[in-house]
Amino acid sequence: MGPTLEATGISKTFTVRRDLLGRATERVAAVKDVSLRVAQSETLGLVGESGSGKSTTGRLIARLIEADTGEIRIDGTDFSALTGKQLQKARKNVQMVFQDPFSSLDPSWVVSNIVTEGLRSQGKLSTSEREAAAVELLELVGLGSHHLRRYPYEFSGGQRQRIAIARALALRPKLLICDEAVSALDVSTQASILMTLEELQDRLSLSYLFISHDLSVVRHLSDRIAVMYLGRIVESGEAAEIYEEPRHPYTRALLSAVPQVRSRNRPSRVVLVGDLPSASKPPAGCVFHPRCPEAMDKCREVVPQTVAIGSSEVACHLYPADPDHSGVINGGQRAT
Amino acid sequence: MSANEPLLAIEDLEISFATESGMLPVVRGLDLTVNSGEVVGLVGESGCGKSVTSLAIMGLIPNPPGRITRGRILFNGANLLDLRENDMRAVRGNQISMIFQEPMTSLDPAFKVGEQIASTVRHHLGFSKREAWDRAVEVLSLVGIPGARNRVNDYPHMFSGGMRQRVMIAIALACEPSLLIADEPTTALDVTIQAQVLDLLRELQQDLGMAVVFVTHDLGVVSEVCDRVVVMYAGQAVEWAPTRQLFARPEHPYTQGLLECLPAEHVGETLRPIPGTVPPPHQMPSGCFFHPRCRYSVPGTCDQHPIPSSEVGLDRGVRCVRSGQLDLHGID
Repeated sequence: MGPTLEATGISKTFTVRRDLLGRATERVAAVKDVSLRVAQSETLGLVGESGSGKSTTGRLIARLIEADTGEIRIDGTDFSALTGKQLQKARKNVQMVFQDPFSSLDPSWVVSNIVTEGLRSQGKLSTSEREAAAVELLELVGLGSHHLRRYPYEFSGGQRQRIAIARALALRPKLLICDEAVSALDVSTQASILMTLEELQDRLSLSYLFISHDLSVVRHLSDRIAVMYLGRIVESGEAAEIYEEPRHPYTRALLSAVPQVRSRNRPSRVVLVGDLPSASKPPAGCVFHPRCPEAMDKCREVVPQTVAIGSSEVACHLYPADPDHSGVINGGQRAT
Repeated sequence: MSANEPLLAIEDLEISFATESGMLPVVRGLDLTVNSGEVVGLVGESGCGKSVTSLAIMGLIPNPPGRITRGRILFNGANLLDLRENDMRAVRGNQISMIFQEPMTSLDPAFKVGEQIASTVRHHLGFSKREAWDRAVEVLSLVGIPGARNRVNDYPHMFSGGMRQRVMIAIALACEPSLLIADEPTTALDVTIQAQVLDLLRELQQDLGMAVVFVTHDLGVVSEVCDRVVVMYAGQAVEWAPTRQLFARPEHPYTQGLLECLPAEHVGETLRPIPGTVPPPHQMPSGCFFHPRCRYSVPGTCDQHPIPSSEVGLDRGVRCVRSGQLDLHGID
């Protein structure tokens, strides 16, 4: 069986400034040549700092914004090529849960309407069918049917996030994109939402694209992880391997920067200098080189190729592609 | 001040807020001491009273609706609650300063950062314009802003998030306070920037011999930065201990519960979230405030009378009647 999601070479450039005649004077390459795979019942964690392009990637895959280039396949069908009615029908396969449950739920709607809005847009249902569907959805996320007639303001942050998950599940999606879905919650609420997400995955064979800046949460939930920096994926692979043996200097720095409770076996900290550079003027060569503790001359000029090592794929000159080997994943890129 | 007198001693503090159901305490019976040069963490979930406590130390509880209804806050032996607003203003920003979570809302967008630092030192230390400006350059380079002499002329929006937080720290440190209150100072920052700012804070704290009250919900940050920790729940301190001891051998079920929720510490295991939520101030349970959520609670023992705190070792205390009988687990 093929993967639930297969995104190949997706890129998106935004125009952030125009001159008087409407010509673009400043562009930001928010996502550049990103490829992702998520198998059925698998969780792919997409991590990176603010401005790395991880949320844009999620929105591109859900087609909330349109990619400039690239292909998005959902369960084998080319989702990125669909238009009109077909697109609207196929949207049920990809649903999203957002970070802020205070702004993502309409405050003037009761819960039963919120969770069944998608069902209504996809086909006609009688009132009683909708009611039954709403009860079932709420139960799925651990909320009782006595909540049906309540408004969002009557719920705590964690409960609202459960409602947002119920709404996303109404159309039985194949892929659920969670964009910082537990980041605004307290630890114990966060833990209970994470448990619910894990249970739902088992029950419904869901695939998750879990976008977060919180590496602890991602570590707990993910089977595989992709690390983004300035719109590019710098490393991806099995979660355990990424955490035990990070290869890209950025991944190493990122993981070592996470404050840990345990006092034993803490990784020695790699403190990065400086901030994330502006995506409108990305550095030449490897985009990470100005902050990289291991930057070489080559890194300032040549864009690194993505090579396979172990279960991981890394784009870094520390791991040169063997020309006789078929290790190169996407060869032929040059510095611009 | 004698050598063994603490820099800050909070005694039996109660802070109340006016609500629809009358004045209700949101912090009660809080005791807290901070010695010179020590970093004390204040942790707990949202609504546990940690930020209100830090505002109380600064004399910044909005009144109305808030009021300190009981207790004392002794700073260098003098009760801050007895000070008039004018006298408190001389302490605030001078001997005690505070940094907040969101630097963009704490800095004035209309003034150069140099002016914002200079005005603080001119007000408190009576520096001339010239001296104050030099001091601004000095503290900006102290917090690691490259090209400080030029950057004093920049406005807050010209700095990145991490740099803005450094500017905030620079303002707070300009008068060399003996106590810094840091309320979630790195929560809005990315991890790599957070690591830079935490390193900076720790370094400055050691160089200047400053005491810090570090308010945060992030136990990882506490573990790396604090010497001692106070865990708050529903407005009370439920456990306090030196950092390593607290995490390795928690005495209160709530502390253990917080540790069990940490996703990175339980990879491949099921998490054990604490059931239920923090009770709102008008629905405080009888007995131990935590008992409805506590898996060790015993009817008749935990739900009847208010729970006193007890000493369980040097610098350690807990507010749980069953703590001696429980075998709780921590993270080493």
